[in-house]
Amino acid sequence: MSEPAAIAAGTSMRPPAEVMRLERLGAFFPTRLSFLRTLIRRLHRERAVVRRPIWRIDGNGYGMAVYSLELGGYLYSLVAFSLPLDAENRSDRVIAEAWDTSYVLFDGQPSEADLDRLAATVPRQEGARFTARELVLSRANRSVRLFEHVADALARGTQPERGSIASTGYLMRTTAVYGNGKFGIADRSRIADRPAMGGPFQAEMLTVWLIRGFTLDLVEHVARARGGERAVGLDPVYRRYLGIGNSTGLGMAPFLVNHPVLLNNWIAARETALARACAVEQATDPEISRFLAALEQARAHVVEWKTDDRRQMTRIEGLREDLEALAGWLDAGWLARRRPWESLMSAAAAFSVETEELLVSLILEPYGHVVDDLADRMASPGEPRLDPTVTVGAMRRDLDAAFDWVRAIDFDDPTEQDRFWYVSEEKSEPRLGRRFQEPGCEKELPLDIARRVQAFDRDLSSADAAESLARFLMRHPEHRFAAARVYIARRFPYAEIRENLIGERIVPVDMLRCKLSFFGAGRFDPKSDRWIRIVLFQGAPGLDEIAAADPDGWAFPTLGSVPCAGMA
Amino acid sequence: MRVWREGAVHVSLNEVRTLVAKAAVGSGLPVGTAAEIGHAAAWLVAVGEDGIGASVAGLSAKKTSSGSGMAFHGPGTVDLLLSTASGTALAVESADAPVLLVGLIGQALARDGREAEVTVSAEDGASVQVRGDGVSASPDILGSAPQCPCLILTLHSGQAGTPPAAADGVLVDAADWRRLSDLAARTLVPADTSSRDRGAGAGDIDNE
Repeated sequence: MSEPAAIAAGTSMRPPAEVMRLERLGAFFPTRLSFLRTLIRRLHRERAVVRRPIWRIDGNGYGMAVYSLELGGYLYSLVAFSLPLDAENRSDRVIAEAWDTSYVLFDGQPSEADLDRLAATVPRQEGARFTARELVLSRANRSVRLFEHVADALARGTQPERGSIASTGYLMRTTAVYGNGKFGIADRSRIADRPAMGGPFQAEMLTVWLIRGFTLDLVEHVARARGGERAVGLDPVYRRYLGIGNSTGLGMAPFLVNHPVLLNNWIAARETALARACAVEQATDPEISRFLAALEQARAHVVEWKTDDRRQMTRIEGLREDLEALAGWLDAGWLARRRPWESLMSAAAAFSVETEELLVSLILEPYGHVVDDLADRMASPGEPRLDPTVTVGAMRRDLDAAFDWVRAIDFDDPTEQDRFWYVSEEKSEPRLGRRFQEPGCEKELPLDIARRVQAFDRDLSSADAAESLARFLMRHPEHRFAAARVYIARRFPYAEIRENLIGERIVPVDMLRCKLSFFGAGRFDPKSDRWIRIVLFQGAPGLDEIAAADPDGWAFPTLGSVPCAGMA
Repeated sequence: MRVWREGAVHVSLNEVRTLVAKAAVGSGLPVGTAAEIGHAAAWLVAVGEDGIGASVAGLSAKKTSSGSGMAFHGPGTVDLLLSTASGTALAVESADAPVLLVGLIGQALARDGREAEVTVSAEDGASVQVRGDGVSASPDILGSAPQCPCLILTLHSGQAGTPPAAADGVLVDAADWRRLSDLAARTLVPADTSSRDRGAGAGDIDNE
């Protein structure tokens, strides 16, 4: 956390006590630091050329395809498999056993022998074992209605209905994107030092971007097979608008909690970026114009953003009202003042959290030259080991500074520990249970951070302040986990979600949205308090236009706004 | 040349770390201790040692020694060692899993980036030097259960280092991997219709 020194005097980062509440984390929007934005800029900078050396897809859309590109001096290939799937087996959950399509990002160009091996393993996903040549493993299911509608329309020589494109926004949705050594694929360390792969989830984002391209090629291929000479290609505006969907469940929540330094680095980069922007003394005319254009674009995007989830829809309606109110007074004249972005964030405190966080994203848009370097600081080599040489007294002071908020939680109140997180034996699906109503809490995951730290606090208080932590933990090995959390939180201030994650009021989908916003996801569409659908790469340049397209001019897309044919 | 009793399975270092940590939880260790065991196994594997076998040995010994073994006390022992002044010797009596202890020391040195090395000596004169980036000789020479040798640990100044990345993954003994998987499976909650329906907050079929 050396960054504040680099920020102009007088502007500080928002404190963890404000930022690390779930209500706020669950209102995050993607920013220009989001991982897919970083990837798109890199692809554009390198003028990446995507080839399709293999296309063995039949008229029904089944078979195999390979897409290859060079990035950062390394060759990567997406190997895609499309197979028939009975409707009764189409599930987005981890418990699924089969999918419409499955993918692997291969390190290099696969040989025919590799392809034979991958054909036997990739469609089985978690049921198979892989090698270190495979970097990312994924699968996707069709949006049945839209895929069929688009294929049929194109086969008849017409374009699909605009409203259907706008309302769904993708042809397929991924249901898992596995990296970092899962099921025998490569550890992240294999690629972490490569150009373009050092940032978080860059290989995963590359995979998803290539999958998006495959889904568009696939639907046109099916249409041509059905319609013959009558068939037409998809309107370039639609090609650009359609992203790739994603269905996500509770697995993302333990990830955030289990990677506190990584979480800190993501949030710290975002908050540092905001602080840098707020430190701008005077915005230039182009910066103001860029912001106002982004704001207008976001307003239109929010008008199109709909969900059946009542909680989120209420928040969207509030956001719309706030943006309407903002439009009444926020203009170039208002922003001509000294420190305009700091003033705007102060004024935004009167609005909803959702509006505040949208403004964070929009304020960063004109400042790529000021904030984009922060993307290089968002990875983490892992969690440090706690320092055993500190004393109990020092650890208590660390706890006072970083975890004092846990003392306000009354765990004698059953509602404060009503939930427990667990992994089901059913395909290791992460789930959330009711502690006093369902079996299994003796096997709960350690997401009860606040409860554990509170117990640690109690035993620390009765120990000699001069005793070494090493000796304390010999007597209390059950507190090693909590001690490590305190040690990390004191040194990485945004490492810890400041919420009781086992309380009755917990809304897990807020954790999912937080993580997804860093990926760059949009159109958050909760399906329950623990399940969400989103869209990735919507409006982003496609495989055949990445070299020429504006890599940043597509945030908060609407169907009416995507750049035609992707030209800058 | 390592001989696999029932064949080998190719795994990643991340799988080693996470499976061993889950197995340690499944065998009853506190979660913070289990995480250290996971790191130790991955470190051992990365430097070319049998971290999987060492984990099986450590977790099995823990079961038979009522929580008094290296798997349980090893992380704390390493804490004490790293808290001592350079040159100070620390005696470990009845070390039931010496290789695992070496892994615990190695991973701690590596993760800390500590400019130090540790000499681990057995009563019979065998000794190994442990650094963050590796070990001077196979820790197997230190002995193993059921002999449970007495070991002397001495911290010295040295160079910081990290183990090789094992970019191609590693081969591990299939039988040991299965034993760890069985232990890890103890952390899973049996499924029923209720948990399937409500636990994930999603329906079973997605055909829209």
